[in-house]
Amino acid sequence: MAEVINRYAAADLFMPDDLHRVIREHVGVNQPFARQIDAWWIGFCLGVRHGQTRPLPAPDKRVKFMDGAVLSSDPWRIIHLELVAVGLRGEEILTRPREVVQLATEHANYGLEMLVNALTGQNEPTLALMNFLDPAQL
Amino acid sequence: MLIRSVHIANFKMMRDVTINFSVDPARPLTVIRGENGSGKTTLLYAMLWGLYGMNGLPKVANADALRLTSTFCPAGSPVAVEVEIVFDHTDDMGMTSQYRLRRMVLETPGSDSGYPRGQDDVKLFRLAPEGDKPVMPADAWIEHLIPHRLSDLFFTNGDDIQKFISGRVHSHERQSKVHQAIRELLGIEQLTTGVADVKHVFGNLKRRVSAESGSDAQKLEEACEALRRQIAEQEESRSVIEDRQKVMETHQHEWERELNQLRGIGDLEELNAQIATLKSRMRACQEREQAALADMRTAFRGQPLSWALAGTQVDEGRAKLEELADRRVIPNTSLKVLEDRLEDGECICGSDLHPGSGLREHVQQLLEEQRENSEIAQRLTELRYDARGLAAAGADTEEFARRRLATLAEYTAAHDELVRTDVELKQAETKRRLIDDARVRTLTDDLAGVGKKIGDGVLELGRIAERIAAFEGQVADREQELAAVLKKRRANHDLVIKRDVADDLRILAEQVQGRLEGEYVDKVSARLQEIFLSIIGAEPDARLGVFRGVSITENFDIVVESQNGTTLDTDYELNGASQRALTLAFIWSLMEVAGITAPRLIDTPLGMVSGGVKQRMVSTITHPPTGDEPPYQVILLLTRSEIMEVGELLAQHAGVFVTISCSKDYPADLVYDWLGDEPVIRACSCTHEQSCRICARRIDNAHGLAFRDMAAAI
Repeated sequence: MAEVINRYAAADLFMPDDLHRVIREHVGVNQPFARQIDAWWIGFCLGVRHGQTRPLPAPDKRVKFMDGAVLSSDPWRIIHLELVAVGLRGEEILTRPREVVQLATEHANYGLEMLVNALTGQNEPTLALMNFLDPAQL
Repeated sequence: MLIRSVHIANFKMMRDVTINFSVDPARPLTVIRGENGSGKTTLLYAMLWGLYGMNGLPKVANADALRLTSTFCPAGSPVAVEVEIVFDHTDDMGMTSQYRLRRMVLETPGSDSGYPRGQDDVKLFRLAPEGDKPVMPADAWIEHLIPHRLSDLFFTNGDDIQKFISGRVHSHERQSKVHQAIRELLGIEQLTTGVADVKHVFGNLKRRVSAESGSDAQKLEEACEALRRQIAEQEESRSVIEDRQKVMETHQHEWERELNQLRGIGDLEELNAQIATLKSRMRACQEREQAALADMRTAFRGQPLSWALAGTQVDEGRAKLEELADRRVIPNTSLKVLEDRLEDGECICGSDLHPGSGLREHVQQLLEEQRENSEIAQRLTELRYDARGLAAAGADTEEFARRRLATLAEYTAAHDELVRTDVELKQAETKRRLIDDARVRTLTDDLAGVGKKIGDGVLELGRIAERIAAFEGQVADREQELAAVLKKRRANHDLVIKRDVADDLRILAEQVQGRLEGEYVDKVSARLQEIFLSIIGAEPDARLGVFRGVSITENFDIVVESQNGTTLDTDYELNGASQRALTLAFIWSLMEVAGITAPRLIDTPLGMVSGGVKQRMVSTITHPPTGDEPPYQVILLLTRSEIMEVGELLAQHAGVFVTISCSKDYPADLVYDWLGDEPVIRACSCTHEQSCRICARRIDNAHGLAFRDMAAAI
């Protein structure tokens, strides 16, 4: 596969502050997520699966956790992101990278809330998350 | 001896209490009812003190420190503590007299030096129509009538009931108690004294006969005497060693038992190895768990999860791209064709496209339009190819589900094994904690030491036996020589006859003593079994019974045999009810065989006993004597709960009912306030079915007691 061009490298990636506070606690060694982008991506997938979004809150209630350059480390995510965007909004959206990122962010916000609920109060969050991520039930 | 009454003054909270007991042979039972803390044990102790003084009270480190008076008695003022017991005694001639024993002491409560008391004033009177006659010395009489060393037989506390049977009491102490009880009660002790007396007389006569038979005979007799003294010394040494051996064997038995228990828990080294293995298995399980979790974390950032969750929408995007491809919107190949045609000046249809031609203008316009769309088309095209590449690499929407199940199963299996191993590890560690390694070493060393000492003792006993045999051989030789000398020089004929008679008597008395002891033990043993099996409701030949028999061994141990012939441990293999049944059966059988008329006072005997055993136990120990059984007296100190289930039986066999109560229980339990300044114990004549202004308790209504609207004080 040819090198995938990341057209979203300059975009900022945000999470709602309240969700970010929980997610960051579950990132690191022996935590469910190696990086925050991994949690964000699962959030995005969950939002997409449920066809639900949550708008990005006001600037004082959101946190930029990374920029879009991070997507380059897993190029397949760019492809999935764009395919989802095309599927949902049509091919024209690819001419508007900011809109693609916004679409992804709003879906991720919805999914992150589900993740936070699944992780909170669990003795072994990794196990709890795996239990939660049952495709047949989601 | 049958106790008619007791009057107690100032003993603990019994400031002024009189209790009459049943002496009616047809109704030998006196029931003294009292709830916990009402004074039953105080009554028992008061009677023991009345009979035996401070020696009669339970052994404590400093018996003199025991306080006889109530803690409510004002400090500094001497209080006269007094117990008066009136009893009947039938002597060996069958004559019955009434006696009054009075023990009094002055105790001064609350001073700095404890509770100083004066000397006990003990007086015993024989009651006669012409007036009371003092009997001296009172203590010796009481010791003769109801020996203190047998007080366990006559006055038994429910809690101490196992003294005759418990393995917790040193075996030699227990055996000694049983032996002493049998010898004393069956008169064997007196016979032993008689045998010793006859021996003494025989020895004197022998010496006199020898002295009268000349110096040779006297020398030989003296030599025999010297040898006998040496034999006696050796026998004394043997007795000391045998006693020591018994003590050591007791210790050996206890230590072996403890060591076996410790070893039964598990060998320490084996346990340590097991613990190490379990810990290793724990670590392996934990690693498996962590590996499963790591796999899960890897899965969280992998493409399969993305496919699993968002695959449908991704596919929609792919479908749109394919549709664009189908419509030939992508890839945009026309741009190159148009550029080539304009450069060649000829259309693919052959028309002229050179500058100035009309068609060229149209193609140039088409080219501009295509150039505007080329950027987006290019991107869509690239995306389409990328998507195809991804799909070719593995667009399996089920992969994550499979991986999820596999990792969860692996984690669960590892975790389950971890939990199981943890339980095993904790059990093993608990076992190891129970094994006191230091104690095992100490016990092993002690056992080795005591084993050697016992071995040495056996050798020493062997040497003593040899010495005794040698001395006895020498005595026999000397006696033979002496007989020869005596034959030549006849002593006074009368003296010789007396000596020979004394010798015959000695032999006869010794034989009688041995036979009586054996016969009595057999009789007691047989009756003990009969009573015990009857109380617990077992038949010796019943196939499913737990007990086959009870007997008293040659060593005076009371042993219980199981159905398969093994000996049961009375502490661990007999339940509380059976232990009580066994002890009571021993006391009853002993007294029956001995034909002794004596009180049997038992404090709370029916704790832990219920149902049929309780019925049979009460029936056995309270029924009126039948046939040749001597009259006896049973005084049971019972709580309300002990009386339950056996109320009717008690009513049938009881000549006297007494209820004792303590005013400290007002108002919590007692209904009426006795208006005293300090807590006191009082007695009334209420039965277990009655209550009065003294004993009425708040719980009585629940038991349907008949209330007598009066104080039925006695």
